[in-house]
Amino acid sequence: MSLTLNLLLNGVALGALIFLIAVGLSLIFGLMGVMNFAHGAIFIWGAYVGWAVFGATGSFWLGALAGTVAGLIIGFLMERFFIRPFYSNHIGQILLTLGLMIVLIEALKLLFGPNILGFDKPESLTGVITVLDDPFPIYRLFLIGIGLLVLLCTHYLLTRTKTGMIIRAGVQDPEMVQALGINVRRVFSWVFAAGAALAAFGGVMSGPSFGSIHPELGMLNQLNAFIVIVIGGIGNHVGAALGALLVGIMQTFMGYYVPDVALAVNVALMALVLIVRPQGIFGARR
Amino acid sequence: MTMLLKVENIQTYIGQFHILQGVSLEVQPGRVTVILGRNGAGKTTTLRSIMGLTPAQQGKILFGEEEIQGLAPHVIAQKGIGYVPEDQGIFRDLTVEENIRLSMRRNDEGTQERLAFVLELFPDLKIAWKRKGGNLSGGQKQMLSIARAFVNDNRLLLIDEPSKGLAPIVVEKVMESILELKKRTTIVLVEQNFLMASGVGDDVFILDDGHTVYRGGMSDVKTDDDLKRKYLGIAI
Repeated sequence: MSLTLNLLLNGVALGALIFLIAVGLSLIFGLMGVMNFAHGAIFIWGAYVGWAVFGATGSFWLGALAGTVAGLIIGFLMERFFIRPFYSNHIGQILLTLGLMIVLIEALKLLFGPNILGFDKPESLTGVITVLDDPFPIYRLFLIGIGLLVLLCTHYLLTRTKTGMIIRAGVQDPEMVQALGINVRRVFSWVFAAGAALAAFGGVMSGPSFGSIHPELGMLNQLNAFIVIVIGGIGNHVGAALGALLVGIMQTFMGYYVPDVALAVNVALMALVLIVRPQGIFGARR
Repeated sequence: MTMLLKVENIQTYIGQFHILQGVSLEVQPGRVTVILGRNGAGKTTTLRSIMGLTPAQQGKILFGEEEIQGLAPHVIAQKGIGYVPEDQGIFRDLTVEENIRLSMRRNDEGTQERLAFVLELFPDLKIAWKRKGGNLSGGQKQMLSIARAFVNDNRLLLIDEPSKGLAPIVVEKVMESILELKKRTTIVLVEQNFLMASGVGDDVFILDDGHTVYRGGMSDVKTDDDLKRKYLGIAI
């Protein structure tokens, strides 16, 4: 396998991880107009809960389930008790979610300590597979599969179910959805919780990929997710997938060739999209 | 006679602006009640207040026997009020089919019958069934918006300026459809186009500067040139 193909596959795997955190953020922002700066903190909470349960039970899958449920619960409680009073107050939302991010990350440090923790791969996904005569980690291929599966499930939910119709309509005009007799606030709550659960699931999946976790990882991934949703278009899951792929591939290539500017190139890509197409590649004009 | 809708002296603010300063209406079942008035008189805000989208801070709104002011818009809609907003409120990324299916609260025989009826009334929608809402013409959007409100078992339809921005031939079609719908439900119509309103309306309320300033029959308004000149700006 050529170096280019190897980097490309690694980029796709990283893109799949970023997609897991970005898709929820995109729908939450698109549907509810909430810019959730605590999304990355939920991601890292998922990783730590997954790590703890994996360590205690020896089952990675139980860890993944526990991390996802933790994200669901944090997301549900956050929306119910903190976000809801701030729906029409954007400055308030930013301050509130920034504050929640700090509280959640500091709470993690209190519980698990601030140091880096090793996160092993599950045994069944350890090792390499031969792709075009060269070895490639099984876990990274697994991540690509997971990303694809989540994209397909999200696509099915959004395009083939009534809940999906409500979400897509709610992204465009939540007031009209209400006027049709649909309790859009309830849908908001579930989208928020589901988005948080996906981010937390992404957190668990990221652990074995990087081999370790630490509290600051949440913020770093959140930044990537923001870049992704601006590039792909807010509220659009296909846009989030494309944006995540672009960012993942770009970051991997730049990380290999010019590591010092890897993040800067993604920010530059976001700036370029903002200039040429402010609503993002798949976003609709508002 | 029992009124289907009774709005009693409602006061509504948008931000710091006191938009409705005492609007009252009575809507009799089976009739088309038209709300007339100049731009900025408070017609759209009145419909939005009834739907709970811009809630009234004071006054009372009775739907049948039940007070509905203060309820959430989705609860008000579920009680049997359909809403066709001024901008039609079509979901541009959803197809015509999805726009209609989204609004269907049930999928029973009655709903299917009403769906068949509106598709008969607006055959354009059948042709554009799989087309996205954003790709429809202004007239098709208006038809879809009306169809979406009618497909449920709504006892009352609130229709806001259906003729706005439409070509005269389309306005005629929309007017004909309102006359058809009138046979099956009660309608409150906000309209600037007096010619259209006078063709379909039974009862009239005129608003001016956030107040109800006239109530009467459409036949009286048609012949009252002073009234039309004073409140509707129609030169005779």
